[in-house]
Amino acid sequence: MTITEAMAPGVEAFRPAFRQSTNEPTWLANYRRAGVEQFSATGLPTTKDEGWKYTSLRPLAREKYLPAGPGEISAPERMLEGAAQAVFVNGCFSHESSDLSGLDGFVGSFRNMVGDNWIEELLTSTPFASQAMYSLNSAAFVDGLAVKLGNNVQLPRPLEIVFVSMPGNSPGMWHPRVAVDLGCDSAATIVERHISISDGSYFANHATDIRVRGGGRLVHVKVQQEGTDGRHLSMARVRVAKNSLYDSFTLTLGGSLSRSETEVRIEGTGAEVRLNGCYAISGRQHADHTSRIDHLAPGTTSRQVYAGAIDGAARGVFQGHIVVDKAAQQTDGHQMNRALLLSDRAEIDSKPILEIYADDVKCSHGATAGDIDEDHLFYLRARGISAAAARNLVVRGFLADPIENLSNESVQAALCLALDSHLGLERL
Amino acid sequence: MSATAQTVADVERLAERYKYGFVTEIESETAPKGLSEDVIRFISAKKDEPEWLLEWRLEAYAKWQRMSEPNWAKLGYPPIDYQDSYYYSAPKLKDAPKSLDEVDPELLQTYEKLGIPLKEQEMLAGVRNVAVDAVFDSVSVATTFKAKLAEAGVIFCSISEAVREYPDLVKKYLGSVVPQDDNFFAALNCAVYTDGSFVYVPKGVKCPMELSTYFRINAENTGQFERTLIIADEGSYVSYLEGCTAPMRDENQLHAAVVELVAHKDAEIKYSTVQNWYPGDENGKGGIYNFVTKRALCQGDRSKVMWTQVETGSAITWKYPSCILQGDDSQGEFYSVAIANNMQQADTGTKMIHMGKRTRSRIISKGISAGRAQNSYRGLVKMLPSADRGRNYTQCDSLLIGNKCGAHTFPYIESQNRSARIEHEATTSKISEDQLFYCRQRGIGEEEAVALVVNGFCREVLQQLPMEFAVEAQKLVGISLEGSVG
Repeated sequence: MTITEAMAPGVEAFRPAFRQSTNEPTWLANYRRAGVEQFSATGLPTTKDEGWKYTSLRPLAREKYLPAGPGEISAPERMLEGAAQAVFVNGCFSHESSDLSGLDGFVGSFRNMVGDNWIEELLTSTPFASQAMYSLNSAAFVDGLAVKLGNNVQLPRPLEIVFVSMPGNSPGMWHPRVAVDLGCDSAATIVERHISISDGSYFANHATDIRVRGGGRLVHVKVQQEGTDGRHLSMARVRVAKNSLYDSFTLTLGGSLSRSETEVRIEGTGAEVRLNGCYAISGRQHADHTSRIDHLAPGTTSRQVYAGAIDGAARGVFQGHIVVDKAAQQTDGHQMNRALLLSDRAEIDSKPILEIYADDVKCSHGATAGDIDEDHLFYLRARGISAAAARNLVVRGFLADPIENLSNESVQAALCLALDSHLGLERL
Repeated sequence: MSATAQTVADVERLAERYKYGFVTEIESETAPKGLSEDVIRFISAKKDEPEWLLEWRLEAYAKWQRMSEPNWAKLGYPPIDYQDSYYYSAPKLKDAPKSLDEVDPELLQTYEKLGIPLKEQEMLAGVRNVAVDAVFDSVSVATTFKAKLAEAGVIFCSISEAVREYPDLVKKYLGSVVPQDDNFFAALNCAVYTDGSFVYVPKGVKCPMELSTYFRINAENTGQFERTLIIADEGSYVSYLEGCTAPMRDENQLHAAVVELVAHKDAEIKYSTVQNWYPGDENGKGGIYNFVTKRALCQGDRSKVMWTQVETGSAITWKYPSCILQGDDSQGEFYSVAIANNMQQADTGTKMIHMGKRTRSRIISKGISAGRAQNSYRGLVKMLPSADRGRNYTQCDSLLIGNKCGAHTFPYIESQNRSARIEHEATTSKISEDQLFYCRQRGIGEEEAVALVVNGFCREVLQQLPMEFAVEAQKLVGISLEGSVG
């Protein structure tokens, strides 16, 4: 049976994206073939798949996306002062726009570093189960970024990875890959940004593989400001080892359809994982935040707080899944999703799941949904603040709450700025 | 098609239907093993049902054949062979008894052993007003307190009797809350249900006593398919108690019940269940498979339904008592204790569908896992765009005893109304060492201490039970956890 015959419906549309391996190492050719096979077997997930119950990818199947080529732009404005920048245009690395000075030996284009053993190991010896959109990325990635820190190293500058979309007249797609391997007791701050500088339809399908080794500390922030006709899917797979910290934050503001999915395996005692985020969506936007955290070792901690403001006819989705393995005694896991519904047509769907196989644990989750508290508005209005401004202030306070959980203060400030400018608020 | 052809077709159809001539078979006490249209016709004929009900059953059977068994629950069991079960068996009775004196003394003895002194209850009628419509292997054998209920205008009888005596009511409400093809197990029940209870409380009547039914499973290899229908008309109130025990049995037994509740304007229904069917032995051998569909329609404004359940038995539990809150200001409540020990698996919870304005719901769920059991809460809270100022509060707590069991929580929370407010909380923790130590220090045995602590954990739910059940339920909590420590 040929691959074409085994294809699930809808797969054909993505066939142009599959990479023919030329001049690539054998392991990568095999890896891509496995990706093609896995994606072809299942095709795009549907709302019948439990994990995609609330997010339909039908809009993707309707559009005819073609792999897009590189473009030239001037260097984007920095979000963090003094940060290095790796700039991608339509998923292709742009040497001209990037500034990676001082990070030699740590950071490079994925394409250039693909011969390195550590990348092969990171990608091929994965304990994660296969997932359709990730497999599509494996089959299709052209370029991306590779970050490798040995033991006891501090990345000299924070790193911004800026994905700029510059779609042309016809709908484009790209499938960038990021790989991060943080050595023992090393530390890094990485901010992923997704921005659009022209109108047009596109589909960005990101995949990220991360390892944080013993005692490592990684701050990983994602700011998603895709264009109004942009569809954004991302899958991050993270493994954390003994006594390490993976501290992540996702700010979702753009895109017509977006899903940020994170899978974390906590494999070493004393490790801590923080997955926080906030989202402000309106119009007909659809934003999905899905995560799964596997506690696999004793004495580990996970913290997750999401806050969302949903206006217009937008729809927010939160799916959080905490799994505590038999071996993971003394697990401390907490998860919270709070949503504000700001219009009569807004919708939130939450599914916080606890799956627990060890008895000596402390796990909890919570979810709330509702309108702005009238008392809060009244308090501000009684002090002479206009109704509109009062509303914005309350929303801002609500959304900014999880930002405080982030361990890096300068990133906190940058996130607040991005949120304020999105909400049209001056700095207070 | 010409008139003649039509007639020929009709005759052929009828001939097909009656070709097995069940006139002789009707004397047998058990339908042949397996499931087919003929078995359904046998059951229907056996119960002397009207044509419309047979049609309804056959329609459900046709739908069931096109459906597949749900597999989304966190349950693992070998595939069920639906052809390897008996779908009808009647207890050995010559004539329906007119009073308890006519009931087979052996039967009464069985009840005695199980701790339900039926006779005593009638004698004590003045003190403890509990009416029992006892179901023994699918057919009602004794009904008490009829007179007193009749005086109030309350209809409380077996559903077979209701089909005969109150066909209009049954026709109007049967399947109105749980449609035939609602799910695989509900469709199966529609096709083969044998008996169950029927309650109708007329306008403005407060039912003078708690209504209660004890379900028993006795004959080997007999699937139990109960059908319960309760209607509370405008401004009425009824409290219904359901309790279950089953004797030891080695083979797995299938049970797929359907319970439908309808609450009209200002009516209130309180439905309490204690389920302690045979859970199988500590190695997971035997035990009941319990797939139940329970749903209430709060149709009228200000109507209220309260589900309380204590689930300690069955090898497999698949059960989600739900409320459709259609009337404005209607209320739904769900209080649940689910205990899974040894190899038991429970996947249970509720659905609260808010449609009307200012509808309120409250969910309190306590799950206890011990031994090698898996216990899951699965629930849905949905606010439709019409549910202005709807309100939900959910609290799900899980307790783990021992490190070989699992406790899981799968809540689905969907809101399409900005003025609606939803709050959901869930926690999972281990049984407190401090509390156990405190008890042990005071000379309380380990098992008793666990029972005490767990009873405290479940208190919020247990206190919702009517008095008659509360004591039994507390004892049950202790019994269910026997062997879980040490």
